[in-house]
Amino acid sequence: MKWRLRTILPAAYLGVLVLSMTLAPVLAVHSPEEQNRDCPCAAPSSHFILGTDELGRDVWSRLLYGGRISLGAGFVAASLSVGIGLLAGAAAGLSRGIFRRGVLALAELFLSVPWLYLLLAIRAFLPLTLSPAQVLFLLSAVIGAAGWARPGRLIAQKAGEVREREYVEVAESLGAGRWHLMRRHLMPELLPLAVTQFLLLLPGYVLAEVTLTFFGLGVGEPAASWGNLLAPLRHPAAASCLQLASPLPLLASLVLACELLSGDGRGND
Amino acid sequence: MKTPLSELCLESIDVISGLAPRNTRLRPGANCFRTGDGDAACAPASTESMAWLKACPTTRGRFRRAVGWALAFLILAGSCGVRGAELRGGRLVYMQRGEPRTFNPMFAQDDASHEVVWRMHADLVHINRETQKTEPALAESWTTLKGGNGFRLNLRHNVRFSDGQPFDADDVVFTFQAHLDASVKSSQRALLLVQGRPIRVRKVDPYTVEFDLGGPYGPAERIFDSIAILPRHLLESAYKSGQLPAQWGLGTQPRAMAGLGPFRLKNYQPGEGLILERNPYYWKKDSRGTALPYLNEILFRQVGDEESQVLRFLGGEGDLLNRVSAKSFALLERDANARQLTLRDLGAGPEYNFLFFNLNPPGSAPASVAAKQAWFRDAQFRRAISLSIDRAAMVRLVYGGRATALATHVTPGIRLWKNTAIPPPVRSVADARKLLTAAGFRLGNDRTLRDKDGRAVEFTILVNSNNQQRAQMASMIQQDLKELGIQAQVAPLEQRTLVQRVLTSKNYEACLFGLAFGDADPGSEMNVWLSSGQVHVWAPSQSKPGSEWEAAIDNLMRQQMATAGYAARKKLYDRVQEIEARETPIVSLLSPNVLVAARRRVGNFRPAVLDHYTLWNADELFLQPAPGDKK
Amino acid sequence: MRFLVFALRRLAATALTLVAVSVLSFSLLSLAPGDFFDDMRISPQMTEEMAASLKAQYGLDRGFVERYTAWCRSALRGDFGVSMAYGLPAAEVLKPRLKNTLALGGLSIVAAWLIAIPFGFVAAVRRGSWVDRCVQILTATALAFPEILFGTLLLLAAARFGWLNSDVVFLRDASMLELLRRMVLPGLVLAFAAFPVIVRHLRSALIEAARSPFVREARSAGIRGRSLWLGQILPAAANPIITLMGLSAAGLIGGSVIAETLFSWPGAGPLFIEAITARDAHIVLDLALASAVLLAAANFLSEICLYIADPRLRAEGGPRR
Repeated sequence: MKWRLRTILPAAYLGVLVLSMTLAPVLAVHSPEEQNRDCPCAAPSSHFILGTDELGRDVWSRLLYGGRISLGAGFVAASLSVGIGLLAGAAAGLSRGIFRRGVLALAELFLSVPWLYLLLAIRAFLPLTLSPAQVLFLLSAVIGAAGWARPGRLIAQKAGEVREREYVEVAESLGAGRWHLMRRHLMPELLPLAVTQFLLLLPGYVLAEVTLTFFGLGVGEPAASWGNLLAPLRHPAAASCLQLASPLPLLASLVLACELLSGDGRGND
Repeated sequence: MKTPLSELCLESIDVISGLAPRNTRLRPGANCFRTGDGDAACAPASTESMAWLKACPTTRGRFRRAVGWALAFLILAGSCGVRGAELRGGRLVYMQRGEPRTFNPMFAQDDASHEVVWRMHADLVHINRETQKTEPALAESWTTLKGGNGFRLNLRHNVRFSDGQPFDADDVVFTFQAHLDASVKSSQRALLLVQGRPIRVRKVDPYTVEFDLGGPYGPAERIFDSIAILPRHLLESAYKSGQLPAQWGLGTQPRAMAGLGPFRLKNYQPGEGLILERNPYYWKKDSRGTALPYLNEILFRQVGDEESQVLRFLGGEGDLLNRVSAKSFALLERDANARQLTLRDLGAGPEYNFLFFNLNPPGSAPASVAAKQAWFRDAQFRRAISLSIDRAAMVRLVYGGRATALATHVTPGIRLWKNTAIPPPVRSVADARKLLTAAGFRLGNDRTLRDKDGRAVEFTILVNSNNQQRAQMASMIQQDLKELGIQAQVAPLEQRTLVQRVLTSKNYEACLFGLAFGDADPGSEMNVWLSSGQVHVWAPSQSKPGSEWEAAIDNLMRQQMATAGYAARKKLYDRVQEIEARETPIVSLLSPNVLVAARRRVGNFRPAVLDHYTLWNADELFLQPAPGDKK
Repeated sequence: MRFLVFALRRLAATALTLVAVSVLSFSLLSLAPGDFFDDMRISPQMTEEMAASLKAQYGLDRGFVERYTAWCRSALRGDFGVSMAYGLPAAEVLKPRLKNTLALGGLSIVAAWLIAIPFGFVAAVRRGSWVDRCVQILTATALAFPEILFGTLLLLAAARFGWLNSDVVFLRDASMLELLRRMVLPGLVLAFAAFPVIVRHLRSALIEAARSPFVREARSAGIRGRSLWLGQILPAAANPIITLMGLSAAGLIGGSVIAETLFSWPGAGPLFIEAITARDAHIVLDLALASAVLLAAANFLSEICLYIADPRLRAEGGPRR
């Protein structure tokens, strides 16, 4: 593993991002919920670093706390997706015949079902006492789990390829057990792929939250998620409150960083 | 072309002619007229209006009229010319947010369907959306039956449906028969029940129909508004074979439908839109005798949502915007002149937003909610919450100042029925705290409000996740309640889930909601304010009133429905509002202003605060051609 | 013969998948509380009896199993249920919408691929150079920009410059040119969303293939440049590329929601969202099925293509799956 600038910079950036989100209570001077009703949509100033939103809430603290929620939810979703996908894909790769076909068919099933319903159904059944942030985490977990099919298929395909390699066949014929095969031969090949998939899915899920909020299907108003910050931008009158677009550069850099980290020659998909 | 000169001509004719009617061809003895200052005075020929008539100096009136017509003829023959024909033509483009679900007026429930259907049909007596009073439509006059429990309507002669077939009393009787038939399940049947009994219809002669309401009915002839008269020759066989509900769905050929409205369906493409064309047989004519409507066609185009609507409007598409949000209005205001737009803020509309609590009787709500209902049932608690809410900030931040704070649910838009003695809402956190202390709540050292058993006061407010403004209002309420030490959680839910929780499972604590007056008359509110009403959202469909004041409201509402005469009804309704202000069953928040926009070239644009804000006078709208335009 | 067996097996698998999709969708739908008529109950004109009788009319008062089997039976006859929102047979509502979506989606995916191929190739061939970096930054930016924001900006620009104005009212009256013109803007949004993913995959597939042993051999045998890339590497990378094409095609129905909603293109996307929020059961079911069929068909086709393209598969006697 060669530590090049290309790896270090994005990794460091991601680290900084995660750190600042975790340290949100320290970095944010104001509360993200407190409405300063006398200065809605205020421009950035020494008092409010990034200005305020439509209800007079500090955008900087909403950005940080929102990042916690959005990034955290994306993290949860991506991990579940890749985790389940890795297990399923490895299992499918190791086996032949019915089991393998079964897993792949299951993956196809999961790819075709409209999971939007699940969102609605789950939201309706959750106890009302949960805060919007908690709701978002739960929903992301479910969506992430339901989304195992996409990385799962790619991993299964790769696992199948590795399986066919000569040295693996040799090992198998020498009597190596499934578990041994999995650990020594498959995982080293599959892990990089899984990591890549994780890095690619993470920004995807964060963006999905933004899109769902635009359609009114995300978590609602008081929560300081990035989707809720960006939502007013859909309206053509948004030009008066451009500080609401502050998550965009963060999103872009997140994607760029993940992109650079993943396409590093360690496993190009 | 509507030049200032022609306008002047028309005005002067009106003034000179005094009592000369406009827009209609009346038979002698009709009792609908336009007074000199332009107001329509259309009252049933009850004793009141007969006295009014008698008070008019008829001889002078006749002389005035003669002079008026003579002058008018001279002036007309001179410079005005017969311009009526020039106003005709053009296609109005209207962008719809949703798709219509049906073309059958008996089953049209949603806004999009109403928008289209009501351009194609007409009713017997119509409520003028501008004046909020009734005026003749297909019935050119009516008298009250003796005892005041019914009407005899005189129908217009020589009126034809849009397919050319004649209209007469048989169509009226058929229409009402179909509506009242329970097996048809018309969505308007409930409107035709007076004190629970269906009204009775009887044909007297081909142009006279009698309606027996079976009892005194407060709203009087308003009952006829929005009951579209259907063509018997097209629908009777379907009705007899029980197929009426399936008729006139979206797949119907335009030829198979007919109505008495200003337009008829020309073309419909699902997902894209539809075109209405002029009904050549429409009975209304303007004051110069030109047949209405002026427009050749109306194009209804599917656009999706408000943001796309506004963007397209800015880009030059569409001629009208029916409901503009405050944000969009501010945006359009910026270069209204450059873009040749007319923007109107009509003030408070029929909609009212409010916060309510779960006041269902014990046993109907789950246990966790029942524990908190003890707080909700205390009127002082509710009043304290009402006092603590900063409505002014909501108006300012959420609606950009274009909303009106409400003390009770009756908005200033329903101007004839608002109890002006009730003071506007004030905000006083100190008074709220006093009320809570008096009710037995204590503010602890940890800044949490606790009830007499020491439980921290906290509850969840449901809100529709799709409605951005209500969600923002809920956040603001959350912050306001923090000052009282109450921890409120906001739970955005999707519309149907919310309705199911509030009306069916009753598994909720508080909810922020909005309703609207269907008509500028308390009669449209019965289902909301009767304790047995299905939309009595805080405690729907009760078998008997849950408290004394609810019983009092029930009585007052029933009384005003059974009382004739505006003054008496207003007194009763004022008392309802007084009880509401005192007991605060709902915490009324605000009413968003009705904001509309139109291009300057749309003539006769006279928006009103009752539905349909911009198209209610579609038969009178016309398009002024831009220079170089071909019609 | 082998091919026939393979085809039949796939058909059986697809049929099973369709059944599973329909059951799952229907269950999820029934899970969500509330039904179509709950929205009407909040209107002061509606009575409880009316709502109840409307529900009975559409069979919403029956149990889950009963409703599902009723739908299955009618579906096998060719009648795919009724849309509660439109009062029309579901098939009638869906047919034109699906046609529109497939047309729009198909054209924009093809366009996206056509644009992406040169980018992907250049990035792979000149791997590591500044050209490659530029392409990577470009794709990352395109990925990071939420599709809906891009669409909104495009709509804003279009409204400003009058690109939206058209004289034709209905699509069925429009000429081919006019149709294409209308498809440009939503197609751009779709292509924008698809393009970076394709570039990325293409690039990595080519790079991966370029590292494989037989390409190294070919290189040492003296084959260079274009003939190397097009003749050896591209076929080797066929597997992941064709898989991606299959996935692209399969995501057509769900992926076009944003573009179609913003530009009012009468496709299946907005209908889908609407039907979900309105709980229009049969429409959602039918759309889920259509999506599943599309996915299966795309998979099937891509496997055929793979079989034709990759000689290794042919040697091994058929597609692995």
